[in-house]
This record gives sequence, C-alpha cells and structure tokens, in this order.
Amino acid sequence: MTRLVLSRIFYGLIVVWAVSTITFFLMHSVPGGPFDSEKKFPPEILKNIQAKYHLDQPVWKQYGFYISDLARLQFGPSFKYRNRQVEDILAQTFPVSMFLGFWALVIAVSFGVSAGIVSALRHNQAFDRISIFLSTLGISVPGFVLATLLIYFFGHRLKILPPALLEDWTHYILPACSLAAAPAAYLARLSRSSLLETLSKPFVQSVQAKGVSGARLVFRHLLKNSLSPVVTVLGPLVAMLITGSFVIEKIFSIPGMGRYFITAVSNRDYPLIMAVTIVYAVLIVLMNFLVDLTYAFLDPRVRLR
Amino acid sequence: MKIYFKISVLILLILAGCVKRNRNPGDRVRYNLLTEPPSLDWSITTDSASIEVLDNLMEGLTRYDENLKPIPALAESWEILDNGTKYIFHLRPGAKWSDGKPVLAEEFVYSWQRLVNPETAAEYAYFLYPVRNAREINSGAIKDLNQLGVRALDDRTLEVELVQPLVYFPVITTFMVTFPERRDLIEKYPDSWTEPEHLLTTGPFILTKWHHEYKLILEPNPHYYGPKPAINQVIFYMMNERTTELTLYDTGDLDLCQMPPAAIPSYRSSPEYRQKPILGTYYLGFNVLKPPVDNPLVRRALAMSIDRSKFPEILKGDQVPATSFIPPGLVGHNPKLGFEFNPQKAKELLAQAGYPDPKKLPAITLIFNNQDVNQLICEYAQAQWQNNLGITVYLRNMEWKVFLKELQLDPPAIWRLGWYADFPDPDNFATVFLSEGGNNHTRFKSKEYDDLVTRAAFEPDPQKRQELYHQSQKIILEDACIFIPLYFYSVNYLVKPYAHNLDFNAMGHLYFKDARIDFRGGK
Repeated sequence: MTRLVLSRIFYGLIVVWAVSTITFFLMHSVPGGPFDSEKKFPPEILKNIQAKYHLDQPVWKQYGFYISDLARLQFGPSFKYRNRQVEDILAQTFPVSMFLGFWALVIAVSFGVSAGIVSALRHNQAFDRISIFLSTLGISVPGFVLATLLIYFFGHRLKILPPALLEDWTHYILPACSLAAAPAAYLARLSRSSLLETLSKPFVQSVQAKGVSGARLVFRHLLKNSLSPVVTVLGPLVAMLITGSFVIEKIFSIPGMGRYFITAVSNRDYPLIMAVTIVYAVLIVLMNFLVDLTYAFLDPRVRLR
Repeated sequence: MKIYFKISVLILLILAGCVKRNRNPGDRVRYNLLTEPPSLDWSITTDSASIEVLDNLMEGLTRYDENLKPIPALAESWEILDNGTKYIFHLRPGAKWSDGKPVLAEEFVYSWQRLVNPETAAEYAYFLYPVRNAREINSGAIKDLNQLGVRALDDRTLEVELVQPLVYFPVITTFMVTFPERRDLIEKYPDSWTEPEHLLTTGPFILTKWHHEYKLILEPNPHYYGPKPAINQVIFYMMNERTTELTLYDTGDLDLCQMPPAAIPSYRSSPEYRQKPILGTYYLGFNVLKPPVDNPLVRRALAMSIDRSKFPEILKGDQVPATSFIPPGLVGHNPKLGFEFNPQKAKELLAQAGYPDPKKLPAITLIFNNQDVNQLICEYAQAQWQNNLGITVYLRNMEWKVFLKELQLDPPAIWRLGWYADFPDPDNFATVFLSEGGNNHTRFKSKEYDDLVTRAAFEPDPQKRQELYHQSQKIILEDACIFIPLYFYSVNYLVKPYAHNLDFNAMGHLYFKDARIDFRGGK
C-alpha cells in the first residue's frame, strides 16, 4: 500500500508539473499583458512595472523563477491585487468555495442517487417518468438560468430566502441548490441506468430466490454492484464543486475561488492563473486516486497496483 | 401526500423566520462597489473601485466642491509664486490622521517620493511629472529621491516646484496619488498597511472591516477636521452582477444602486430614479494611415452619416449625443464643433474623395471589445453607414486585452474607445491626441495641435484658454477628423427615498460624508 501511495504521488506530481508548464507557456502566448490598460502609461512607467515583476526577462527565465517559487509553494504577489500574495487570496477564497461545494455535493449525491435508485426500482412507473423529466431538465437548464429563477421566486417574489450575499447559513441555500442541480440530475440518470443493468443480471434473481428483498437487497447487493460508474464521475465532480463555480459565485456574489478561473485569465494575472490551475490539477489527481481506492472497496475483483 | 405538503410548508415557514428583515436600521448606507478594490495603496492603485473607497477614506491638499473646482482640504491655503512654477501649501492646523497625530508636510514629501520611485512601479506616477525632476527620477536618470521638487519647509508648509507653470495643479492635488503617507506605517507593515487593522486615514471615514471579494465597512473618523458624518457605517458590497444588485435594492438590502441598461425603462418613472451626466466621451477612432480612411474626406463622410440622436433610445440611459470631445462642464466644451448628421453632404464628400460608387470603397473593419453596449453601438454605426452611404463595414469583436494589444500594434481602420476624466480639466481630454501620446491610437501627428494643447495647459486666462481649446479641437474634429465622438457618458441609479445627499458628482464619484438616513423624509 505504501508503495502504491508513493508511486501515485510521484505520477501525480508529474501530472501537476506538466499541467502547470503547459498552462505557463499557453498563458504567455496569449496576446495582451497584465498591465495593458485603456489608459496607456509613459514608457518609463511600463519599464518600471515590467522590471518589478520580471516581465522584462525572457519567458524561459520567467519560467525558472516560477518553478523555483513553486518548489517553495509560493506564487508571489497577484498582478491585479498588487498588495496581496496569491497564497493569501486562495487561503481566503478556497474555504468559501469548498464549503459551498460540499453542501452542493451533499444535495447532488443524496437527491441524485436516491432518485436514481427509486426510478430504477419503479421502472416505467410515474415516479420514474417524473424523475427522467426532471433530470433531463436539470441537465439541459444552465446553472445561471436556474439561479436566476430561484432568486426571482424565493428571493424576490416570496422573499423567504436571501437572493445574494453571504451573511448567514440561509445565504448558502439558493447557491448550493443551483450548483447541485445539474450534477444531481446527471447522477440520477447514471445511477438509474447502472441499477437497471444490475437488476437484469442473473445473480439478482438468485439473491431474490434466497428470500432477500427490500432494503437489504438494495443496499447489500444492488448498490455495491451499481455504484462504480457513479464513483467514477464523483472524482472530477468533487474537484469541480469545491473549487467553485464562476457563474454561481458571480450571480450570488459569493466571495469564493471560482471567479478566478475566468477573471485571472481576462486580467492576465499570471501568478493567480497558475495558482488556481495547480489547485484544480492537484484536486483532480487526488480525487482520481480516491476513486481508485473506492473501486477496490466496491469490487474485490479490482486489484490496486 | 398531505404529510409532505405540511412538511414543505413548515420548512418554508422556518426559512422565512430565519431571513432577517432588510430595513436599513437608520445609521448606515449600503452600496455596491461592483468589484474588489485591487489595492487601497493610493500610490499604486488605478481602478475606479479603489478610488471610490479612497475618496471617502482620505483627503489630500485640495478637494472638489460641487462644481468640481478645487477648494482647500488638508491645505487651508496656497500661494502661487515664480510665475506659476512654485506652489506653497499651508497645512490646516487641525488636520490629523485617524490615530490623532497631526498631518505633517514631510508625509506629503515621503508619499510623492514613493510614487515616483521606480521601485514602487506606480502606474500613475506620471501625474507628478509636472513636478521638477519627477520624470527623471521615475525613469531612473536621477537616483536621489531628494532631488524631487517637493520640500517640507516646516511641519505645516509644503513647497512644490514645477517644471513649467500649470494652471490646473490644484486639481491634480485632489487626486489620490498626491495624498500623504505615513512612513512609520508602511515601513512597519509593508505588505499589510492597507488592511483595516493598520490603515490610517485623513478623510471623514476609517476602514474597520475588509472581507476581501465581499464587503468593506467604513466608519466615521473621530479625528477628521470637518463635521462628523451623520451615518455610522458605509457598507460597500462587491457584487459583480448589476442584476443581482438591482434585486438587492428591491429587497431593501441596498440603499442605492447603479442600473443595468435593460432595467432603466422599467424604473424611469420611479421617483427613486436619477440620472447624471459624467465627464466621459464614447467615440469611434480612425487609423488615419489605413486606406480608405487615410483620406480625410472619407473620414468626414463617415462622421456625418451617423445619426447620434438615437443613442439615448438605443442605450436607454439618457446619454447626451456628442459631436465634440471635451464634455459639458469643462472649459473648452463647444457643442458647435464636429459634424452634425448630414447624409446628403456625406455622399457628396465620398464622391469628392473619389468614390461616387460606395461599393468601390476598399473594405473597412471596425473592432471593439466584447461588451453588450459596444455591440449595440457598433452594429448601429454599421447599419447607419450601410443605409446612409451604402458602405459595408465589417465588425470584429475581441477579448479586452487582445483588443488593447491590437490597438497598440496595428489598429484597423476604425475602432471604438471611451475616455473618462482622471481629473476635471480639459487638458486631460486634449492630451489624449498629442502626437506622441500613448493613448493616441489614430497615428495622427500634428505639431500645430501639440503646440495649442501645451499652450492651453499653461494659460491662466479662461477666455484665452477656451479659444486655444476651440482651435485645437477644431483640428482633430473637423479639419483632420481623426475620430467620431458619439455621446457623453451618464450614470443611471436608484436611491431609496429615506436616503439623502447621495448623488454622484460629474466625475462619477460618490461621497458619503454628508449622507443621511431619515425615514421621516425631508432634505
């Protein structure tokens, strides 16, 4: 097991290095620099700024600075928020996105998987049809449309939930639901089809013939054999949800990390772009490793090497 | 089923009970800043969100009155000596920092030296270039910061030497980059002196909380020399979405808000709706070296064939159609300059330029950065040129930084831009089109224009100054016609009836020191 963990860490580090290197060079190849602005400064000012942030150095030298900073887990000051270190920005915003993402995940998994199970068990009955309709809707309706509708009905018309901001726990309800809707719908469809496939297998009839039914049949025999596809998507889904959503955080004015995936790029804030990319890459690697471990738990035929 | 219904109703009731009522308790103003201020270090920040906060936290030597004229602030008076090349500012005896220490002339010297120090890499260092040796120090030609033309003659007297007489210098000293700074604070907390636990201010408010990317809270400065603000808190939220802002205004979570253009028609008849013109001009520029707009006759024809009177209807915000560049309210504004809508004359000019058949005109491209407003305007201009002249203009939209790079390297025939005043003086507009100006993307160069603008900056007589700006603007608007002004900007906003003295000034700034919350009404 130790060998396995060490080898996965090693390969994970290579993946993260490759992602960050590709991002670094892509980022520098995009036209426009961090300090280009509508009001242009005199050349001596531009020279001072470029010298301060090493932007006057060749790209390979900048890459050297970047890698040496990264080895010390430092990203330096943001180019946009010049008084703040990128590490501090992430330390302040990542927990907010993680907390919101966690609740979105809880909602998505609990509603999605349970709706999928009930749908499969009541195949072609009313609940199944309603569930399919709702899950199709959940997948098709973009998050910002759902968020706007939720704000309109619960925040504006009924006035029972806050439409934006983050003052107390009630402020998490609408964004968490908006964020959870699409993953819940996807998980519902996935778990339904996977369970239906399991139900058609001969071992189920054999188990039923032995008198096993109800909750014991579902949780002991069916779920364990049906959850692999769900677990596969959960890895990237967790990484996506806990790093925040640009659209949802923007609409609900949540001070999370998700907005930086877009704004850091449009501001050409190189240190911040690299930091959010690396956080996302590390989480994807980590979640995929956890998914692999879960496979072994769910299916003894899977051997980890 | 009944049980599910009962549970749902119960959940809704619990939620409704949890939500706090949003009424303003009567002692605060809640406003949306739109974005996180990138920095509250007034030497290095450049964006409007930071300026909006700093304008309420800090005061400098001078500040604006209602008409945007500079009046005494931390300086109670000033003298102009040596034909306008030397200013002596006398600091107000009661001027104090928020920790109770007096504001010293040396703190201005430190701040100005820090601004032009190349190591600070301040983007707005050029605002002090009129000061002796500022440019040389900033470019590294002079290493000794003490060579800067600013000295503390004693604790309350500041002497400033200028390179040349500059009639609007007291306007520059209203701007944040000239505010004083505390050396002890910056040296002790170099990375965090702008955070609420350390920041010291000289204005009517202090910063008490900064939840990054979410909200800032300002409270009255107990040591402010002027009257204490009537409110106990200003809460700045940082919501990126104008529609969310409007929803929160409707639910009573905000006391004033700026409006997305699409919402203006629904609120126009409301007594809470207000509109104010601000010092800014939206225009389409020409690259005068690119055919076919290298011909001034073609440029004039294009300028005459856009009906600008439709812009308020298109943009829904009561924008003022413009044919000239310097906005109303500034010396040098002349609404008679530029070209009115005249499609017939435009066709004649096009024929004179050698294009009696508009279809023979080489392809023209107009670029803009992808924003809804720009899309609307550029599509409108495209339709106007097609309908009035029979010219096909191709539109190309692009991401903001890519757009700026294209403007710097190789601008196409036509592009869109806007210009907001950094300070309320026509020089800030006229210098945009100086031959070597970094913001002049037209590639137009004219020694005559440069001379007129330079003379106007140093001309103390308002009448003569007006005439110099008239002559210089005529060159770029009519003779050479290097761009087409389209409209002057305005700000559209809503203010709750109980909130008083909350109005944007013509710079688009909002000052909260006179704000008042009164549910009984009254002025």
